[in-house]
Amino acid sequence: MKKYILSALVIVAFLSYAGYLKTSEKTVVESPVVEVVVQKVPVATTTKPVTKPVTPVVVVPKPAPVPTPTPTPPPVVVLKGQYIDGTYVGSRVYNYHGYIQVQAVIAGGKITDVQFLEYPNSGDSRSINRRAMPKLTQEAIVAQSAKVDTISGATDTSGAFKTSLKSALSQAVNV
Amino acid sequence: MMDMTITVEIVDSQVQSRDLEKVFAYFQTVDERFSFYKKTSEVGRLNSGELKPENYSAELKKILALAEQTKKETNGYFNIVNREGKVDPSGIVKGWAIYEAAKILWAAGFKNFFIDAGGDIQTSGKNASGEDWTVGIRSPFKPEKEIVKVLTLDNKGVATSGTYARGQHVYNPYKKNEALSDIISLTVIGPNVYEADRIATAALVMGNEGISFIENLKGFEGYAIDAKGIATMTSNFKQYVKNN
Repeated sequence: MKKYILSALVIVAFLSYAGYLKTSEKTVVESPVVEVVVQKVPVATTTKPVTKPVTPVVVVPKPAPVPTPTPTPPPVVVLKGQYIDGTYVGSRVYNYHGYIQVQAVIAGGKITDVQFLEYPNSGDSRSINRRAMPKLTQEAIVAQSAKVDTISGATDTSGAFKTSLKSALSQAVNV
Repeated sequence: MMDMTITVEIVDSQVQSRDLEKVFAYFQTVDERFSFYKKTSEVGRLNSGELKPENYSAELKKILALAEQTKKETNGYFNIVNREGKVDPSGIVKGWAIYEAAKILWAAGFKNFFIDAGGDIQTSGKNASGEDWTVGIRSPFKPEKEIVKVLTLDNKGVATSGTYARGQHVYNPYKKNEALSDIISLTVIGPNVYEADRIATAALVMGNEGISFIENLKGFEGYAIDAKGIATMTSNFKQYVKNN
């Protein structure tokens, strides 16, 4: 498991770097990735892609390719810039506490659904200790339709979510 | 701090636009003093070493003292010193600033309002319909478009900490290199937003133990959502849930 996580980290660091070069846009993944990689692979400290366009010194024998579903060219005329129907998997993006990966479903040229394939999770502390919490009750969350005065939530929607979605949609777009 | 949305709604009929402007101006001054990202802010100059302790403002000293007190009360889980060793007081400043802004409105004679800064809220009195304020809890899975609970609150503070948002920058000081557990959203109702915010921040860091920590705090209720969409709530949380 540890090996898997380590290699996943390294791959993600590389992908993030590659993604960074590709979009030349500062994304949320940048510093958290460096931080985590530093702990596992000390040499990776130079992967911070801000000023040095050095070859990523990430220790990966062979960087895995970006998971591209490569949609087949549409048989019908699709306008440039329009989304092509299909399901597209976004890049795996680290958001400080874990990885986020989404997939976008395009139907009729529009985004019809965005699903989480992965969400931050430690992976080893899933069980809830019921014994220690006798008075606590549990329920599955259910979407509410009621109108409210205001909404409480964590500040800002995840930049990682947006980054992963963006990469999914970049595959969907007709160029 | 100013990159977050701040909403102020005042129901009382004597409200004028200058009352609202006063509140927003207050948030502006707080941001200028405490922003972690502005090099010219007091916190920025503290972190660069330019500002010496003897030159700290009274407000900065107050925040540092509150942070230290919170750290003790949460067994060290609440810590404004980040992994790089820099002081980032936003975990305590936000709730404090909202509460202070509410005090400005109370002092001006207002009774029925709410102040929401980045999803942390102080409610006061009743809404325009003369009922308790209704506050939704944002879905951590569909934060843009879904709420998963509706609370009714009068003079209370409510705050949500979550790992689904960017910039939370919380970590477990006792397990620095580990990702937080599977609690991805933790909403706390407290006597005011300052209390709710600092407890939400600390309890999220505690992972699965966080909700038990809240259960044992008098005057606080909590609603924790894990990565599988299962919520765990404290024993009296339901009294604030609409239609319950």
